[in-house]
Amino acid sequence: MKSKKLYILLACLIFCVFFSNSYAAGDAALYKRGEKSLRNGDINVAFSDFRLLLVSFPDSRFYKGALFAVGEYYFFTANYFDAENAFSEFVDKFDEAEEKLFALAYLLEIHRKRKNENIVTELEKEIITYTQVSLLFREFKECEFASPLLRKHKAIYFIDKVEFYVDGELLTTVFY
Amino acid sequence: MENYSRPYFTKPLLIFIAVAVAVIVSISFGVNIFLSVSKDAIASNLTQFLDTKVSVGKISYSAFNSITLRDVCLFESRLSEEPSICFGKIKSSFSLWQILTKKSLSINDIGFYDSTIQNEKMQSFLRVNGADLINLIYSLPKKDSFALYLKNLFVVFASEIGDTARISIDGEMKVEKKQISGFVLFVPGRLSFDDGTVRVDIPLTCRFTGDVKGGRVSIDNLEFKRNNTYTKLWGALEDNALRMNGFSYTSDVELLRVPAQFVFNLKDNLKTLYKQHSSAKIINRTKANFDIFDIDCLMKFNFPKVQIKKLEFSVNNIPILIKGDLTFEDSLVANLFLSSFPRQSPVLRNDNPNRFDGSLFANLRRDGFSGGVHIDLARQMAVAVSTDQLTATFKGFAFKTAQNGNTITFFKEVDLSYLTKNNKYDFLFSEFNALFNFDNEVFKAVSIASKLYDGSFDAIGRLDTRHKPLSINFDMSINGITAVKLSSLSSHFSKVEGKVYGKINYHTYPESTLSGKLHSDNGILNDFRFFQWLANSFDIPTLRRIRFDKLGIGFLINNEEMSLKNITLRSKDVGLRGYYTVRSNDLISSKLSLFLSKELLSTSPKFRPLIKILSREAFFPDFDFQLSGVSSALNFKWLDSKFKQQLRDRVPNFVERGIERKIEAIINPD
Repeated sequence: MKSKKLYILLACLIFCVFFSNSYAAGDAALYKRGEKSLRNGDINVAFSDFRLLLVSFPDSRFYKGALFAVGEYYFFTANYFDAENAFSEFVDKFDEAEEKLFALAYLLEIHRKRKNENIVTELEKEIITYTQVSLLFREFKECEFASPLLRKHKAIYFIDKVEFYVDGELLTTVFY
Repeated sequence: MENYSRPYFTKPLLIFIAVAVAVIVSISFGVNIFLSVSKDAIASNLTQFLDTKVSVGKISYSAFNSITLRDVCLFESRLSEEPSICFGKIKSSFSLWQILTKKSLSINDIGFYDSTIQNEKMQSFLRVNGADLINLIYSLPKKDSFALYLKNLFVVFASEIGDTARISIDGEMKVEKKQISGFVLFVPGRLSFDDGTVRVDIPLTCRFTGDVKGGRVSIDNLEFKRNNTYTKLWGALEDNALRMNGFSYTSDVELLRVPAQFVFNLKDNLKTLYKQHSSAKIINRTKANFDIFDIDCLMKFNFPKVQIKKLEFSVNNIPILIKGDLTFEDSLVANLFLSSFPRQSPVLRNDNPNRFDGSLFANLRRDGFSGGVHIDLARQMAVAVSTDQLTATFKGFAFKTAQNGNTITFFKEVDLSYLTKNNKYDFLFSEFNALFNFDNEVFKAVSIASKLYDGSFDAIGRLDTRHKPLSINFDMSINGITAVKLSSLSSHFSKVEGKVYGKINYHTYPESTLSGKLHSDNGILNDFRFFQWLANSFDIPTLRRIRFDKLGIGFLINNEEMSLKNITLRSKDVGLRGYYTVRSNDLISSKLSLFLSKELLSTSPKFRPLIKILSREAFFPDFDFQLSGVSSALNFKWLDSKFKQQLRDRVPNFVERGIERKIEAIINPD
């Protein structure tokens, strides 16, 4: 009797471990598959994997990266409605993330296109106050970030403006 | 053929005339003697009739039916010693037929001539006897016909400070079979103390028609005309309540003269009206018209109190309501409340930028006129409408005439307070003189000279009536005011020990803007926020209290920004120049040039490395820097200069980065 109970307990333990590993293997596998597709130049397939990850694994540690990637994809395919939703969710959920600054930049550009003056003003102020700079001998301060879609993002803080670049191309500028 | 009858009839005629004249003279002589002897009895009867003490100087009779009383004085009560109102001459005619046939005295008309009344005493008299006077007015039209005349009647307003104002009143009122009609001409003027001349102002004409039935006086037509201003009212007085409706307008169109008998002779007067209308011409149409329509007034008289239950009207399409009361006791006390758009729903009214609410209280005493005004003003902001409050209390109001005929008003003291959503501004003026010039139809001007705290304040203001809301422009100068007393204007003033001088401009069109330049010499700057931060960050405690030779700033405040320009601070060890702007989105833009002497820097352990580097320099250069961002987390940049380049050439890169990290740690300790 005693040994029967022990076996049942062991089986449950093995099942839990297997399940959690399967779960982990699921979201990680999706994310890695997406990265692999990107390296192969297949951005659409990568987008599908990232989107599936968001839907299937909302508590995943890869959620943040996938969310940013999905937002990027929507933005560069001019789907501004879904891009806004993705980046807004990113800003709300990941307040401390270093990528938040760039999510704000995407949101700013979307609302500038839509000419939503009030929201543009709020976003500009949030970007301006995101970091404090002191430029003694430097002319500017830079922040860099490589996105999940393998795009190089750069923010350059001057004393009177902030410039955002994606892969060397100017995305948006905030003057103050 | 000769006319022999002429000498026959002439002689008896002459005899008859002589006898008649003798009789009339005898009767007049006899009546006059009788009246002289009975003067006191007549005065006593008048006292009885009016229920107040009356004295009569002289009474005389003129054939056939008129009596003249001279130097007649009315007292406030039967026991008063000093007269309230004195008339030079009162002349009355009576019905001789009534006396001969019915042995009763029936007055046909009464006239008041050549009289001067002090306003103060008249008010006091009305206070006590006002109700009786109204009853007297009610009783007059019981006669079939009656007339009242006023000629050369002067009401004098004594002033503490200068010329005496007075109003001359001439008029007449006729009652004919219960119908009342008449006119009054008011001519204001100034009696100069210096040369005794009288300066006459534009007269005000009043015409009225009405009737009395039972206890009700119907006012069919009551018109006022002064220059280009015309007012027409109609209503009724019943049970001590006055109800009136009407309108008023000011225009350049030559005004139509509405005949006094308009209501009663419609057909003929329509023809006259048409003729006058077709000949009217527009002289010079301006937009400076004040049109008051839909006047609706209800007042209740309950002496010594007069209640204004409601006075509603619209002025230039803005509806206004006034309520309140006037009390005639030892002093005249007024409590009035006014508001615009009174019938608008609270929700809509709250967002209406043209709404205002105000109250006025005033007290006219022997020593002057004191009181206060409170106004709640709506102001259109970027997102919503906010309410500002203006409160002014004043003491010792008086007025006099300037040499050019304009009116100077004077206040012994004015306490002015202006409250906005975020700030409260207080000012205490004394010996406040304001000269008003309303001659121009479009531009109304005021010049002000006053003491403000321990200094002086001068201003020239102009109101442009073409714009709605009205456009105001004020140019002001302040001289020698202790800075800390201006703390309500800005908390920065509390950091300055010294006197402030400067010029300020405020205008409301096209948008509300306050700008100007202020300076102070040979003073002290205490704990100014920027120097406080420098003192704490770089360990230089003497920066908390800077003795300066000159401190000056220009400033500009409007809906978009608040900026300090041309900042200048000069002292032995500290200098500051530049500008500092805060925009409506709270973002800051600033460029400043800071000078700190070698002696001052050497007191700071953090600057010793720099001192060593620059020890061979003859004088220390300025630090030019730029600020941006929000005040709680300012971005900082040291601007390029020859000195900065020299420093960079002397120090290696790793030292540069070390200095940067240290400065960053000071500026951004988080």
